[in-house]
Amino acid sequence: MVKLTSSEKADLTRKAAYVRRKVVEMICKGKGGHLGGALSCVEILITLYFKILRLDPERPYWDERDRFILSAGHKCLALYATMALRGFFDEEKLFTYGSLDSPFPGLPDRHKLSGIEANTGSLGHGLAIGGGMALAAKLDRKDWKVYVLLGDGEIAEGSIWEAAAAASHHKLDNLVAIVDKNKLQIQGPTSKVMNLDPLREKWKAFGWQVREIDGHSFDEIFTALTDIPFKRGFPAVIIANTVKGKGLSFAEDNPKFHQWQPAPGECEKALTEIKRLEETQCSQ
Amino acid sequence: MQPMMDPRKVFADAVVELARENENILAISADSGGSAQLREFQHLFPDKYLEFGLTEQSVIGFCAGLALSGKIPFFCAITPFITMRAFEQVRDDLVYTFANVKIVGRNSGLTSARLGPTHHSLEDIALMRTLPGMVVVAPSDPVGVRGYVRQVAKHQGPCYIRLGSVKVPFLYNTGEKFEIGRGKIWREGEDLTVITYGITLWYTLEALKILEKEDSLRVGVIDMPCVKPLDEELIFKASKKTAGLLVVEEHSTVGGLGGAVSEFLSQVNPVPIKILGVPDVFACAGPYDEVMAKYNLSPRGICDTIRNFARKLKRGSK
Repeated sequence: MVKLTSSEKADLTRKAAYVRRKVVEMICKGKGGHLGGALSCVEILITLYFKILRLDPERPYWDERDRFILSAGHKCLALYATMALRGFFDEEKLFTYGSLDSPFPGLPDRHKLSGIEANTGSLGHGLAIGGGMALAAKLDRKDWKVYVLLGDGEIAEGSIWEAAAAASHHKLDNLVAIVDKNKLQIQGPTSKVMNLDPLREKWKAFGWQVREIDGHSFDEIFTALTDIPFKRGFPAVIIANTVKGKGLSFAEDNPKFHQWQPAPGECEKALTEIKRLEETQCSQ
Repeated sequence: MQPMMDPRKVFADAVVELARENENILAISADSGGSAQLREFQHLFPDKYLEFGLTEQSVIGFCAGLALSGKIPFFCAITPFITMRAFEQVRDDLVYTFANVKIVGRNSGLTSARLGPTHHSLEDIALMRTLPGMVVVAPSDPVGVRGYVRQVAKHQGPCYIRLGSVKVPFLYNTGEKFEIGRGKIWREGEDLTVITYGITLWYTLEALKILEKEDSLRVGVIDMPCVKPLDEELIFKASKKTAGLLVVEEHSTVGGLGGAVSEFLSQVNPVPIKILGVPDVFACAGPYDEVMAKYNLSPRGICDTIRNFARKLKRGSK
C-alpha cells in the first residue's frame, strides 16, 4: 500500500490552509458565497489535484487526463483556489470572483474557465455526466478515470440513483464517487431534512463498492483513492465524513454558513482566524 | 410510387448509415430502442448500442459525458420523456454545456393519440426552442428525415429531432438537400401563405387539392422543418408577398412554430397571422385521424381554415 510521507502530509496541510484562506477572502471580497461545503471538501480536492489526478494545467483538456466533476457545484470556491494553486491560472485572478464576467462564477462554467469539465450547480447532474465520460473511456479502451464529488444533501436527488444504477449496470470500475458527508444542508441536519442513512447499504444495494473514511485525513483519502477500483468491474464510492465549515470555529457544523453573506465585522474575524490557522499549520 | 414510411424506421436506417461512416456514432436507449427501430443498429454495432432502462434524466447526463469525450450519441425516446421529464438535464447538461448530443423525440405530437395527454407532445417545440443554441428540426417526409439526421450529425452541438410514428409519403425527391436554418418554398401564393412542418405538410398539400376544386384562392406553401434557427429571410419574404400567414402545426398553439413566426414578424413586419394547432388544452384521446380532425388538423380542417382566413383577410383589406 502506498502511503504519504510526513513531509508530503505537511505540504498538503499547508495547501489546504491556503485554499481555506482563499475561499474566505473570495467570499469577503465578492460579498457572499457558499462557504460551508467549500470548507468541508478541501482535503479531498487537495489530495485529488496534487496526488491523484493525471492532469496537465498547461493542457486542461488533454485527452488522456483524468476527469474531475464537482457535482455539488456550489463548493466551487474551494475548487477554484485548488486549481489556482495547481497552476491552472494566476491566483490573482481569483479576486475577480463576484464581478461581472469573472471566470469564477458562483457555480462552475466550462466556457469561462479551462479545466472545468461540466457546468454543474443544479444538484444531481454530475454523477451521470461522469458516468458518460467513464463509459466513453471504456468504449475507447482508455485508462483514465473519472472522479465525481457529491454532497450528502445532493444525493437525495433521484437522478443520482438513476446514474448509480446505470454505472454499476455498465460495470464502470473507472468511476469514483466521493460523498462529502458533512451532514448538513441548507434546512439543517441531513438526517432530519431527508435521511439517507444507512448510506453504505444504499450504495451497496446499487452495486457499488463502498469505503467510509475521515474526509479530513490525507492518509485516509489518499489510501482510498490509490486503491481504485476497490473491486474489478464495480464502481467505487468513498463516503467521506467531514465537518461543514471546517477551519472556521463559528461556521463549523452550522448550516447558517452553507451560504455566507458576511455581516459587518465577520470578515475580519474570519480572516484573523483563518490566517492564524494557516500560520500554525505552515510552521509545523 | 414509393411506399409510405414510418419516420422512425427512416431515422434508424440513417443512424446505421452514419455509424458505418463515423466510429463515434452511438445509439442510446432508455428501454426505447426497439420502438425507435434501432434493432438493426444493435445487431450491427452491439458495442455502440447502449441501454439504460427507464432513466431518462440520467441518460441525458450520460449522453453529455459521452459527447464531452468525443462521442456523438443519438438518444431516441418517446417525446414527453426526453423533452419534458428530462428538460432541466437537456438545458444544463446538453445545451448550456454545449454537448454534441442528438436527442430524438419519437411518437411526437398526437401520434400516440389513443394513449392520451401523458403520451402526447404538444409542448416539445416550445420547450426546445427556448434553449439558446439548440437546433430544433421536425422533418416532414422520409427524405427530410434522412436529410436532417445527416445534417444534425454533421452539426457540432446539441440538436433536437422531432419524429412522428405515422407512416408518411415521400413528398421530396430522394436527392433533395436540406439545411439547418433553411425552409423550402413548395409553391408561391398571392392570397396567403401556409407555413408548416411535419405531417401537416402532407395534409396541407392534400387540403389544397380539395380547395382547388372548390375555390380559386392562390395559396403559397412553405415547409419549415427547421424551427430553430428560424429561416427569417424566407418568412419575411412571405410576409411581404401575401396578405397573411397561416401556421399549421401538430403542436399547441402556444409557443410552437406559430409563436416563433409571430415573435419574429411582430418586430419587423407585423402582418395578420393565424395559428392552426391544438388550442391551449390537453387533447382528447382517440384514433389519430379523428383526434387530428377534431382540432382541424385534417386535410378538410386545414382547407376550411385556409378559406375562412383568406376571406377574413380579404374583408380586412377592403
